[in-house]
Amino acid sequence: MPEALLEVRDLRKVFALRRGILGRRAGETVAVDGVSFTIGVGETLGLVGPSGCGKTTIGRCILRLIEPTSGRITLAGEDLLALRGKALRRFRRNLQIVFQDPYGSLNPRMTVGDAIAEALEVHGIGSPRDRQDRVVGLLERVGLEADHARRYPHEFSGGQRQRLGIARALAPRPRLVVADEPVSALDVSVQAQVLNLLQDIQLEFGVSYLFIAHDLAVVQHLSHRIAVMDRGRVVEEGLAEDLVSSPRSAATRALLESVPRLGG
Amino acid sequence: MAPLLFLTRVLLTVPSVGLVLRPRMAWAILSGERGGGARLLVVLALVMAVGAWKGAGARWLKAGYAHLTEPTARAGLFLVILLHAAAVFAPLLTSHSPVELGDTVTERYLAPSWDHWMGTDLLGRDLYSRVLHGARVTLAVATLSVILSVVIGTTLGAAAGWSGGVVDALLMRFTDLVLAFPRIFLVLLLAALTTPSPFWIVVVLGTTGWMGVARLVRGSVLQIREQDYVLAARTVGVPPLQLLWKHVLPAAVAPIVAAAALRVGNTILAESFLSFLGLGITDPNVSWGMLIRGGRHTMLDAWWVSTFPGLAIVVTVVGYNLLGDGLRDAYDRRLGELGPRED
Amino acid sequence: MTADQGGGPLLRVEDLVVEIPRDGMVSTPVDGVSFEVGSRESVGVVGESGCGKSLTALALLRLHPRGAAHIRRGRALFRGEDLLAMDIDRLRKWRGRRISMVFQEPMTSLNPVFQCGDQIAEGMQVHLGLSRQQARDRAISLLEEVGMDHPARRAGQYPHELSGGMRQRVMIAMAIACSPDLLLADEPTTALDVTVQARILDLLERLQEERAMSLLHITHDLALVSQRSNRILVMYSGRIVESAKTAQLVAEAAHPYTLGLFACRPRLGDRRRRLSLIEGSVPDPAHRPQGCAFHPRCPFATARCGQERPEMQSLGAGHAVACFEAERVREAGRWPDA
Repeated sequence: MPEALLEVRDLRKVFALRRGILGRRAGETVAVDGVSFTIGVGETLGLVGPSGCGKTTIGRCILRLIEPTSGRITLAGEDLLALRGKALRRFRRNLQIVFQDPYGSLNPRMTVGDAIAEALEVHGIGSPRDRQDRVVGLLERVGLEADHARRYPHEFSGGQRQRLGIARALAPRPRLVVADEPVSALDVSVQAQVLNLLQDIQLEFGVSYLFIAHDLAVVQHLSHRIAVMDRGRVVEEGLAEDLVSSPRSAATRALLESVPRLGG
Repeated sequence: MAPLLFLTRVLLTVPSVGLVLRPRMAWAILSGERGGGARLLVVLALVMAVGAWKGAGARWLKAGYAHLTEPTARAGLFLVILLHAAAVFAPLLTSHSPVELGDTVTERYLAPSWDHWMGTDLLGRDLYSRVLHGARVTLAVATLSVILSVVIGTTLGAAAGWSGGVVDALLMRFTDLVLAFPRIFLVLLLAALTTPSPFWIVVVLGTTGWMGVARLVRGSVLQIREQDYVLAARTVGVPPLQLLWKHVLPAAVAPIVAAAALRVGNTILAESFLSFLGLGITDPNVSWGMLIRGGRHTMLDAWWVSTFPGLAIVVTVVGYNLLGDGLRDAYDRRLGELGPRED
Repeated sequence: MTADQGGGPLLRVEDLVVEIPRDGMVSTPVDGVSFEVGSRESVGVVGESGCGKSLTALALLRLHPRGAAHIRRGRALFRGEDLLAMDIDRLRKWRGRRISMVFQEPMTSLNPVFQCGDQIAEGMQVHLGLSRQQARDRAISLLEEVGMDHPARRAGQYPHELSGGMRQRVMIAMAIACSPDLLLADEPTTALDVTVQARILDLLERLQEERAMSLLHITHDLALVSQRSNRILVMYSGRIVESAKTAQLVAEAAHPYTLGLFACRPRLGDRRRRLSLIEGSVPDPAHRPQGCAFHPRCPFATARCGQERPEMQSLGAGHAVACFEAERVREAGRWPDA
């Protein structure tokens, strides 16, 4: 196994249900219930499970968009949960996200060039000229053109927007990208284009992926290892080929059975 | 280019050109010798003129105009521009002074005529000139107090929606509390505590009209802050205030602008009401409400004294409401377009 | 009803053209579509976004966006009567009763302020003249039929209290409430995860058989309908380019686009290989390429494809295709790898 980049230990997230104007605690849901896994450098871990199993919450916890209730997350040796304020903001460039919904993940009021350059600006990377060059480089890398930088998101199709989302995530040269259902809102034909792109980029940039999805066929295609989740817990984890060929848990078998196959 | 858009730009530009050509007059206006209303209007027009021709301002204006597809909304915009232009150019459009007294025997209560388009009042002053000059104060007071309430409402609403938790609960309970008092009661209370002047009227109306805006903004912010693109900006490491300013608030602007335009009409009515009661604008300033007050005893004999300022109020309120409705419809339509799509 | 006795199809669409006038130009997202749906038949319509498949379904019920799009020509004979020409009030009575529709997004297709039970009951009160109580009772048994647990309790819940899968079940219950002859399902499972998707598709299949309905299932995922439909129509850029019985289509697809759709889906056990791609995207219907609309993306294209537009030709046994190179494509049998 490659050198570990991300380590998640005993991650727990409990959401409190609050009622009334005073926000009385009226109960709780355990979204993530003691989850541990590692992702190596340049590796893809597929996180798969039915909706509501907690997989998205895990991704958001790693990105520090949600505060976990307990547990430990380290990225390249750095204790992620101990970071606060400015230190956290500086560290964020190492961790990026690609969202499911290509229509909601780009600010409709910013040109895509500005959206991609934002990360570079925030972290003071390069001169304005350099940044522009890097934006153009990224656009071309994801299969778009340099003059697309001046356009607004609504001028692009769903597949193109997903490419833009990938370009934006890559801009600050992250070590880990959380891809949260990046293809499930796309046409099958466009899915293939985006999956290929994600694969090429991994080889080229050496980035690691946490690939979250509900479709096992898609997950196993891209992942080195897969963790299957069910109701907040990881119920099975292993190398992608083993997991697909000899599933051990009922949850995995259910996921395998629901994969649409060509029949007739 | 749309002719109305062009007209807007020209009208917004003329005062600035005028200021450059007549520096002494410019100084008089800007230093306040010509009254606060005029000064603020000119400054506003200057800012807008620069914006209208250059960069973002022009784009916004064009986009905004393109969204106003209903003829009624465009008519509203036209009325609003016309009224503001009349206010700004009042000295050029009138031949009589608004304050100079006429001969109390031969010139009091003259019916509308070629010389006095709207007749004269008790003291023989030209009503047409007074209505036009009154537009300056009335429009400036209404616009500024709406701007003030939008600023207060946006700040509090954004703070509440962005921080959530205790801050949100406290701010919103405070808003509910203020909202629970009838506005008119607050306005009368504050008006009684302050000296009647345009400045204080703006403060009074501004500080009693922000609650709706605060709620609106809080709702938008709560919803927008969870959008993927805001989360994406957070993962990039954008600092909180920049996040709010650059990613969240711009998305909340459209409903705020629509609500503000609708509020202007309301505020004009409120100001007129105060001035009518004698708690608002008083001599030597002129506002429409105060003009109506001047004619209240002679409604039957000299109908024109109250009728023309009253008509001015009606036209302005209708203009702003048409514009506000149009803006709101445009915004709702855009929401619809962002909804589910077909292939 | 006469046509039915003659054994004709339940629905017969002939040369449907839907236009969208835009900026002085006219685009035709649905550009001459003809097909049939037999009684008790399950037909899949497959194509990428922008191929006109949803608009076709909406146009059949004349639910296409008013003002934006209009039906230029064509007929849609349902039991011999033209849906596109009939009085709109009459069609309104048919909607939901004889033909109903299930949409992709169950959240926005349900009214958030009504209880699920009441939404299902509404159609039955209007179309079947049931009393409020009767309709409500029927709604509960429908919820049971679509596989909801605690149907009586669910009937009293609001859409936001239900998960995506449950909402889609409510939509389906609404759609079948008045026992329609034809159910149009437009991407009914696209917003759902695969396990729920499989269950919803099972449900649709079961209902279609038990209730002797016809089903027109619109999707972008060929694999989905290849397991469950009797017949598949492949649409590209406003036209049907291939139509065949499902087994035929899987075994001997004759249109390159069909092969492309088969190829681009990741398969289990087939890992970390570059997927075969249909490069590019569906053309804007206002700027279709000359000749065959697919030719710029087609690895089998010849010079002729760029000049002439292929019409549907029969390959026998209900298999038809619009491609000059159909024979070569059928022999190749697979989309060439990148």
